[in-house]
Amino acid sequence: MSVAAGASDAIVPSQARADGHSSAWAALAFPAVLIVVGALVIPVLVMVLLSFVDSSGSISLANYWLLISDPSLPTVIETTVSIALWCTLLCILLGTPVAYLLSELPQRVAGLLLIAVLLPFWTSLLVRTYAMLLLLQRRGLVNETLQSVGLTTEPLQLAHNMTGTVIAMTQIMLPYFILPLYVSFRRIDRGMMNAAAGLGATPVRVFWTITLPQARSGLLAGGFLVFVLCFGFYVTPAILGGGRVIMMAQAINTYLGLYPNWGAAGALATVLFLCTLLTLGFMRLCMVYLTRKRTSSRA
Amino acid sequence: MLSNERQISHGRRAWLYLWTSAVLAFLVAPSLIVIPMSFSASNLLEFPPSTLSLRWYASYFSSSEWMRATAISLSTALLTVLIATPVGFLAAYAVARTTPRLGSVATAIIVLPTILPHIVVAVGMFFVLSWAGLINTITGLTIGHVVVALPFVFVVMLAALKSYDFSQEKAAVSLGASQFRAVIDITLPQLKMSLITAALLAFISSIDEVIISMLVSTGSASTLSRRMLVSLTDVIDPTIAAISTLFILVTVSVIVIVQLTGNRSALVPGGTER
Amino acid sequence: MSGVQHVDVPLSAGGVEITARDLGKRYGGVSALCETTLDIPAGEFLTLLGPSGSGKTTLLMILAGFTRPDSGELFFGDQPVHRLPPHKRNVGMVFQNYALFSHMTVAENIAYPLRIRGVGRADCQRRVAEVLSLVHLEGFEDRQIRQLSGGQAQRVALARATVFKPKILLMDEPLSALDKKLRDQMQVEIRRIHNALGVTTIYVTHDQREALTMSDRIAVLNRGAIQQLGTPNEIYTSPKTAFVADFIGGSNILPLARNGDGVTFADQDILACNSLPDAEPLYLVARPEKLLFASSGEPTLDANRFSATVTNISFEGDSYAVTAALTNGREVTVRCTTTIGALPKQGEMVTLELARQDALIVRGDT
Repeated sequence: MSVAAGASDAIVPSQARADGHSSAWAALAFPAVLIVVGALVIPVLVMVLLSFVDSSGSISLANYWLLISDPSLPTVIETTVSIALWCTLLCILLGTPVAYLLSELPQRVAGLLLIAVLLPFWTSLLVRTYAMLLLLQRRGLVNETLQSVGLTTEPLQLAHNMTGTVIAMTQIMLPYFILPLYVSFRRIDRGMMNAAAGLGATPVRVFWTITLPQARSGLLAGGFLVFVLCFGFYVTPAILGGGRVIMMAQAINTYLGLYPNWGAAGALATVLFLCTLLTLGFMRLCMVYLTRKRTSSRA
Repeated sequence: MLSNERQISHGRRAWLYLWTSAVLAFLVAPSLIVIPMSFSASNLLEFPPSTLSLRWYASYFSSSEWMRATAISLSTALLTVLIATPVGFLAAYAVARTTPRLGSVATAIIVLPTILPHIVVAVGMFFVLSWAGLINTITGLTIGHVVVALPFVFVVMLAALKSYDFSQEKAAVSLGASQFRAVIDITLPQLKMSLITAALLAFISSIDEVIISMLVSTGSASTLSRRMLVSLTDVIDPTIAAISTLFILVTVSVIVIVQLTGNRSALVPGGTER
Repeated sequence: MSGVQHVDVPLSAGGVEITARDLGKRYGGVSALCETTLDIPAGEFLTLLGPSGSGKTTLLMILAGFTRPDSGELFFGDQPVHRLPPHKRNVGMVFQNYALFSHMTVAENIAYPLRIRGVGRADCQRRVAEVLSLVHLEGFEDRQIRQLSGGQAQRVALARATVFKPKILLMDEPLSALDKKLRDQMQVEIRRIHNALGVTTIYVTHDQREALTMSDRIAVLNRGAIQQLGTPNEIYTSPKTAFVADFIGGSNILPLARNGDGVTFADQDILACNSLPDAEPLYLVARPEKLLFASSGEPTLDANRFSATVTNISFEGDSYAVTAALTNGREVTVRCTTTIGALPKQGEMVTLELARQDALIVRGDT
C-alpha cells in the first residue's frame, strides 16, 4: 500500500485562499484607515514638523531650546516619570493577586466579580477622578472616618498633592492591569500546574515556579500599558494635584496658551509622543525576547 | 481532587480573598459613593446625607449652560455613533476576510488611537482643525471623537466576525443573492447584538472624552465633559455629583445591556484613552 | 411521517449537461487542479472522490463559481458560465457544515432562494411545503435551526438547495459530520431525491464506500488530476493506477520488475489477467479477499503462488485480516471469512494463491 499512500500526500493549496480570503476585501477597511490617517496620523506628523519651525516661520530648533531653557520642565518630567513608576508598581502589587484569584475561581463567579473591574473601566474618567476627590479631600470621607474612629486627630493631606494623584491614578489604571493579566492567567495550562503539584510542589511554590513565569507576558503587557498610559494623564493630576502636581500633558496645554506660536507645545507633545513610542518599542523587544526564550527552552 | 491540592487551601488563601475584596472595593466604592452624596441637601455633600434633596439635579436641569453642554455632548456622541459604527464594522469585516498580512496592517492603524496619549492626538488635531476653521464646531469635535470611538467598534466587531461562520454568506450567494445582499440578509442580522454593543461603547467613549474636547471646543461650544473639567479645576460645583450619578447610570445600563446580550468579552479592552 | 405524498412531479426540474474544457487552477506555484476536461451528461450523479488536497473541492468550487479558474472553459448546457459570478449560475449547493442561516426558521431558510427570485408569498409557502415533504420533514416549517439534529439539518440544506429547481446540484462532503448509521440512511435518501428531481449532481467525498454506493460514475482525483473516470464497478474491478486500486477498497500493491515481455515479483514470474500497460513503474494489485491460503499439494495451474509467514491475525467481525510477510519481507493482507476451516497460526509458514483472473497489473500514479 505504500506507493499509493505516499502519492496521496499532495500539497494542500493554501487554505486561506480556498476559504475566500482575498486581498480585495481589504478595500472595505479604507474608510476607517482614511479617518485614522487623516484625523490622527497626519495631524500628529504636522505637529512634529511644526515643532521644528520657529515664530518667524523658519526651520530651527528654537522650540526645543525653549524646552531646555524652561526651568520648570525638569520637575515636570521628573513628576511624570515618578508618578508613572509609582502607579505601575502599585498596580502590580494590588492587581496581581486579584487577577490570580479571579483566574482560579469558577468561570461564573469570576465573570460576576469581573463586573467590579469592568464597571470602573467603562465609567467616565472625570467622574472617577471626582469621586476620588470627594473621598480624599481634607474633609472628605476617608479623613472623616479616620478621625471619628480615632486613628488620626488631624486630617491627612491626601488630596491636592502627589499622594492623592498617585492614589487616584492607581485606582483608575488598575482595570487596565488586571484584565490582561487575568486573561493570561486563565490561558495557562492547568495540567502543568497539576503535574507540578502531583510531583510534590507546594501550592505557593507552584505559583512562583509555574504559574507566574507563564503569565510573564501578561504581567509585562499590563505593566507597560499602565506605565505608558500614565505618561499621558491630564485630568487626574489637574484635579487631584491642586495645581502643585504638573505632568507633561498639563505642561503641553499650558504652553499652548502661553506661547503665541504652537511650536513650543508641539515640541513638548513630540517629546511625549517619542517617549510613548520608545516605551512601546521597548515593550515589544521584551515580548519578543520572552517568546524566543520560551520557544528555545522548549526545543 | 488533584486541582485542589495544587491550589492554595482556602484557609491559607484567606489573605488572598481579603486582598481581592479590598482591591475590588477600592475599584467600585468611590464611584458608588457619589450616588448617595448627590442626593445630599448640603453644599458639603455629606455621606451619608443627613437630609435628602434633589437640589443638585434641579440645579443641573435648570442651568442653561449645563443643558447647552449636554446637548452638544449628546449630538456629538450620536453623530460619532452613526459614523464610527458602520465604518468600524466595514473595517472589521475587511480584516476578517482579507489576507492576514493586510489585516494586521489595517488593525495596527485603526487601534493607534488607543495607545497614543490623547493630548498628543489632541494637539495635532487642534493645529489641523484650526487651519480648517473647525474649532468650536460639532463637525470638528465629531471628527475627533470618531477617531477615539473607531477602535472600540472595530475590536468588538472583529471579535464577533472571528466566530461567525462565513459559509452562510457563501450559501446565500450560491442560492442567488449578490455578495452585498448576502451581507445585508444573512450576516448583519446575526451580528445585531455585537453591533448594538459596539454602538453603545462608541457612545460612551464619545460622551466621556475630555482631552480632545478640551482643545477643540471652547466657550459656549464646550461639551459636558469639558465644562465639568473646568468646574473641577476651579470652584467645585456640587451639581457635578448629580451629573456624575447620571454618567454612572449610563455606564451601568450599558454594561447590563451588554451582559444581557451575551457579549461580555466585548467589554474587556485592549487599552484605551487617558 | 404518515401520509407521505409523492410530489416528485411538480418539483422535477431535470438536469443539464456540464462540459468542462481544460479547467486549471494554481495557487502560488502549486497546481490545485491540473487542466481538466470532463463531460457530465444531464441527470447524472457524478462523485468526485479523492483524499484532501486532491483537487476535488477546487473543481467543485470552480463549478459553483466561488473559485475562478486560471484556464479553460465551462458550459452548463450551451451556456458558457466560466465568467459568471456564483449568484447568477443558478446552481444548488449543499455545504459540508450545512451553512443554514441560524437566524431564520426552517421555512425562511428554504424560502430564501425563492425570495431572492421574487416569488410571491403563497407560492413560496406551497413550494416550501412540497420540498419539505420531498425530504420527509413535513411540518418542520417553524422550527429554529438550532433545534435540528444533524440529519434534519442535512435535509433542510438539501431542501434549500433544490427548492428553486436548479438544474445542477453540488454537494461538498455533505455527510461527513454525521455518524455512520445516519450516513448510510442519508446516502439512500440523497440518491432517492436525485432520482426524483433528475438534477445533474456533483458530489464530493473522500469516502470511497459512499462513492461506490451512490454514484452513476466516479472521478477519482489525486494531486489535482483525475486518475480515472468510470462506473463504480469499473473503478473497483479494473483500477488503472496503483493509487485508484489502493484508494478504492484497499489493496495489496506489489512493485513489479519488467523482464522481457513479462513481469516478475521477487524473481517470480507473474501471471496476470490484463496485458501490460505501456508505462513504468508497474504494480500488481491483489485484493485482500482474492488472496487465498493454498492447500498443500499440486499448484493450481493458472495461479500465482507466494510463500509467506503469518505475522498477525486480527478479528474484524465478519472476517479475519491476516497479515503475512512474503519472502522478500513485504507484508500483504489476506481477508478470509470467519467460517474458514483451518485458520493459520501466527508464525506459521503458508502459501498464498492469487488466481490469474484476479491478478491485475496497473501503472503507477500519474
